[in-house]
This record gives sequence, C-alpha cells and structure tokens, in this order.
Amino acid sequence: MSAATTHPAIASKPDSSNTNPGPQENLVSLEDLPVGRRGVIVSLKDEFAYLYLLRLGLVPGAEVELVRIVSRGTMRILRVDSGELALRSESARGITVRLEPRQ
Amino acid sequence: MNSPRTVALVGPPNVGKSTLFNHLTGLRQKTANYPGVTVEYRRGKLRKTEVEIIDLPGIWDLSPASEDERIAVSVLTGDIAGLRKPDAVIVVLDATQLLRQLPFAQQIVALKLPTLIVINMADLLDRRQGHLDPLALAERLHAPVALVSANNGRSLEAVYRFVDRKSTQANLLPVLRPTSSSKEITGWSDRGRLTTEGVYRRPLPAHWSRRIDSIALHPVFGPLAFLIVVMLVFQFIFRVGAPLSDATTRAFEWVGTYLHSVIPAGFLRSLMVDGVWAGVGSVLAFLPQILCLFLVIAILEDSGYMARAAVISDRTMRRAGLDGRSFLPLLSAYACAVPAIMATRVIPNRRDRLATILIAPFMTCAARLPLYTMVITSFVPDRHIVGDLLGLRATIMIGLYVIGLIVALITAKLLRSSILDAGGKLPFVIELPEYRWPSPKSVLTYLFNRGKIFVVQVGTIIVVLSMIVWLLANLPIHHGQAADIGHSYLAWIGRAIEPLLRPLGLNPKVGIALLTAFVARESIVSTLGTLYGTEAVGHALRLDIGFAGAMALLVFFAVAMQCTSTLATVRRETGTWKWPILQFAYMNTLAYGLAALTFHLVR
Repeated sequence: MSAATTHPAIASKPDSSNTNPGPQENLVSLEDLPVGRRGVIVSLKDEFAYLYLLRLGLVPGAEVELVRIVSRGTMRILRVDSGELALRSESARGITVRLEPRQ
Repeated sequence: MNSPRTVALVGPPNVGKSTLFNHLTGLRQKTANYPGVTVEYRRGKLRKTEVEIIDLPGIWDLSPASEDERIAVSVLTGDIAGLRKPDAVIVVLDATQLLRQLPFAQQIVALKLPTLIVINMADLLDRRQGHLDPLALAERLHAPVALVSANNGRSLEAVYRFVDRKSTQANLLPVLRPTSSSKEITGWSDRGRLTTEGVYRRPLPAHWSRRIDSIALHPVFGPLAFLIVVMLVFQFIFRVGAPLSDATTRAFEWVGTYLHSVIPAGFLRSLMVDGVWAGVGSVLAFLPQILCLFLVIAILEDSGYMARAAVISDRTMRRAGLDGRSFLPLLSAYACAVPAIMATRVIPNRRDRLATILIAPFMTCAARLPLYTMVITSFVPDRHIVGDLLGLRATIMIGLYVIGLIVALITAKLLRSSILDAGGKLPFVIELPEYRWPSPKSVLTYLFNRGKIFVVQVGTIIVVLSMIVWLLANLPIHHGQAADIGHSYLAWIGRAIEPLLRPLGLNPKVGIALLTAFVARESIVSTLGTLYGTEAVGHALRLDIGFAGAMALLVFFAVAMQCTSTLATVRRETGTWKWPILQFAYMNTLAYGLAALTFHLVR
C-alpha cells in the first residue's frame, strides 16, 4: 500500500463544515497569498510529493499566514497554526488556500 | 517482574526529545547505528535504575516513507534484531505546536502499547499565553498526559514515575489513568473542537522570534548576519581549534621522542613509536577541531539560528541540487573533511546528506596546503598578473580551490540525477523553531557523544588503516631493522605502478610519496624529502619531474581521495563500506584522468 493512500490527513478530505465552498475568487495558490493575510488550506496538488508537507502540518483545514517573503521571492515564511515554516515558493504553488477575511 | 525494561521515546523533530532523554539518563547513554543503515539511535539507562530508554529518530509520522520512519516503526513493533520490543512508549510533543502534532500521538496510542504522552515546552506555552488542560486531553486520547518542561525540569516526576513504575497497573496520578477500556479512538481530530471545548488554546505568535527574524531573514541584513556568523565560525575553528590540534600533535611528537630514547632501537621500537603511537596521535589531533566545530553547531542548532541559516543559503545551494543545510558542513570541509562529514547529521533528508558526504572531500582541506605551497613556490615564478593585486602564484592557488569546488558541484549534480535521484521533485521545507538560549547541558552532552563516537568508532579504523600503510612502508625486516622506505613493500608497489604514473609525468618516488599520503596528506612533503634525501624538495622535484609533472601532481592532489581518516568517517556515518569504496574509486579515477589531461595540455 502506498503511503499516500494511508495518510490520515489525505484520507480526511476537507468536509463542508470546515471549508465552505465560497466564491471562486477566494481560492488562491499559497504562492499568491499576500504578506500578512491568513488563509485556510483547501487542497494540495500532488499528494504523494506533498506527503512531507502534510507531516509538518500543511494539511487541509490548517490555518496559514504568510509572514514574509525572503531570498528574492524564492522562499516563503509561513505561520501554520502556531508554528513557523520556510517553504520554497515553487512548492507553495501547488497548495490552494481559501483567503480569510481581514481582521 | 512486570517492571518495564525497555521504554521507547518517540516524537517529531525539534520537540526537545533529546533534552528529555539527557535528563532521564544523564551520561549513561551510548549512540549506535542500526545495522546497515545511516539511522542513529541512542540508548541509556534511567537514572538509578536498570530501565533502558531508547531514543528513536525524530519522525512526524508512522507511515514508513523514510528510512527513519521505517526504523522507528520496526523498533515499536519489535522487528529489529537484537532489540526487545519496548514495554512502553513515551510520545514527546511540543505544547506550542499541539494541533498539528496530535495526529501523531493518536497513531502511537493506536499501537496499544502502554503510552505516556509528554507535552513538552510548557514554559513556552505559558509565556506565549497558550493553555492546555492535560486531564481533558488525557480523557480524549485514552492515555495519560503530562505537561512538562524538559528545559527546566518542570513536572518531570510524572515521566520518571511512568518509566520506573513497578507494575503495568500504573500508580500514576490516578486521574491520569486511561479511562475505560481502550475503545476505538474516536475521530476528534477535528482541531476546532479542542479549542472550543477549552482543552487547548493556541499560543500567540512568538514575538521575540519574529523580531529577530525581521533581521535574520531580512533581504540585506539577513545574508550579512549569515556571513558574520560564518566568519566567526571559521575564526573560532582556525584560531582555537587548529592551534589546539597542532599542540596535540606536538605533545604526541614530544612523547614519541621520549619513547624513542627509552626503548632500545629495533623494529619493535619503530612499530610502537612511529606506527602505533603516531597513529593514535593522528586520531587525537583531529579531536580539538571536531569539538570546536560541534560546539558551534550545537549552539547554532540549539538556539534556532541553524534553520534560518539554511533558509538564507538555500538559494545558493539549490543550484547544485543541494539542501540549504549542506552549506555549513561543506564550508567546514575547507578546514577538514572529517568533522565536516560528521556535521552532515544536521541534514534531515538522507539523499541530501549522502550527496554532501560524497562531495565534502573535494573541498580543499588544510592538509593539502603544504604540498600546494611547496610546489607552487618552487615551480611558479613570483610574477604579477593584475598589478600588485594578484600574483601568478596566488592565481594558481585559487585555481586549485576552484577545481575542487567545480568538481564537487558537478558531482553533486550527477549524483542528484543518478543514484541519489529523489524520484521527482520533493518540496523543500524547513521548520523555524522559536529562538531560545542554548542549554549548556544539552550542548555538553552533544559534544561528549560526538567526541566519543569519533575516538571509539572512527579512531580505531584510522589506527588500523594507518598501521597497514606504515607496515608496507617499513617491511620487510633486514637484520632486525625496519626497511628504509626506498626498499620497502611500498616502494615495490610504487615501482609496480610506474606505468600508471607515466601518463601523469610522475615517477616512482612521487608515487611512493602519494601512497604514504593516504595516512596523512600533509606528510607528503616530508616523505619526498626522505626519498630524495634532501631538505630542498622543491629543487629536487624540479630536476626530476618538470613543470608539467608538477602541475599534474597538484591537480591529482586537489581531486584525489587520499585520506584514510575521511574514508573511516564516511564508513561510520553511512553505516556501510559501500559509499567510502565508491567514493575512493570515483575520486581517484577522476583525479587520475584530470591529472593526465593537465600533463598532456601543459607539456
């Protein structure tokens, strides 16, 4: 059995209570999330390759905030729940988030 | 009878698992490799007891996707030869990261071994105004929960009691006992509910860390701070480590001279003093540099800066297909490949780590410099190229550094697209732990363990390998005396490989010197002196091999794998002879080809 099919985070697809299918324009790639904005992860493109990200908490339903962009745009610093991660921008491209309203 | 004899410690990386382990075991611990793999684990005895604690590699998940995870799962299910199935498990989590780490705890609880969930970093949770109700969490997890702070020892009694309890029916805090018979774990993985039911309140962002990061990851100040840190690391290694290493060498030589004067002349004296004693000395001479490098690494790791340094250097390193975390180990290989290869442990991805280990010896280490200096000063005229700014000699010296670097980068690219191909592009992500003061205790334990590994596991191989070369250089015995190196087995080998040396423009004497350099590169100059019977080695070489041969020699020396200590370290760090043998064959073939090409072009 491949690891991708057994991973609990993948098995539990975002249910409707958690990720309300809002207007289409609210869904953006994590790469396009503006600095300081919060979003909730809706899906990851290639689930097997992204297994590593799932482990670090980048799972559907997790809240992310773009803290800053570094290294001339090649790296993004994210807050995921209460921890911070650095993610290469190209990896952020495959993650879709729903923009949360500004606070 | 029922007392748990083996307790496994599992948890994600960066949750303070090692700190807890050190706390529980003190220095009664040893580091070992699982048979045949690079994965390392530590085991130790709980203070004042015979209970054994196994510290598993940091993992995020039980799905066997990485080597670390496969090992951890096999340990927990008792499928590792020579290791008992653990009687109990302690899961260590970070209180500030609880929401994303709880699914892991659930996976472990589902294994149905007696389990204690230790939620570490209680102090940070408090400081950042988070909250956790351990009892409520225990009810939901069906396992006892302890909220602790391994850094300052807060609430660790619960952990001691769990590990050392005499019966499986815990006389833990009664409320912490698992409720009811463990039914199917209900899917409360809904993260929202934990918060709404008041079990857990997420901590506020780490303000100090954010503030420090606004400098450490700043587009201008970030790289600047990084360069300053790198320079300080180097200053420390060269100003403190290298002199201490030299002092160790001198001390061994001094004692060796003394031994020489008290032991009667003969083969035995030569064996004891020049063979064994010098071999041990060469091992211990590495130790100060290794400890200095690891002191710096431990502080950088423990404080949280290492992850930021990896972010800063990632953009450069990725061009070679490497991880940002390869930077520091590769840089330190310019001093010596041995500590550098040991330092690759900071690279979590096994493929990146292996690639870094395999290319580190291409970096121009300090032991290559004596030959470089000698050859360049005797063969290259002291001429200016760019006014007073750049001389011809300096250019050639820089050129040798560049050759090593280019070959290393090409090799890294080759490795990534062949044997170390990751099978597609993996996303790259680094956790940025909160900044904190390094704990002196964990830094010292780390240093102690690394030093012990080097002396015991690497040192023995170095001594054996250098004894073999020494014997070849001193046998056969004539009239109770060791052979003169010019008439030894080594000389015989040197003459036998003469046809191989000719395309490089070299002769058997240089060949013999190159063979002895396998014990210590820097010794090649003095060996050449012995062979030519003169102190003026440069002059003798100039008459003997000419300019083209000398340039070929330099190129060979720059690229070849000529260091038994490095091979021994690679053996230790990769857990198999496969990689050092491959590395040896690859580097030396490449060196030979490039040296032959150089000779052909220059002649």
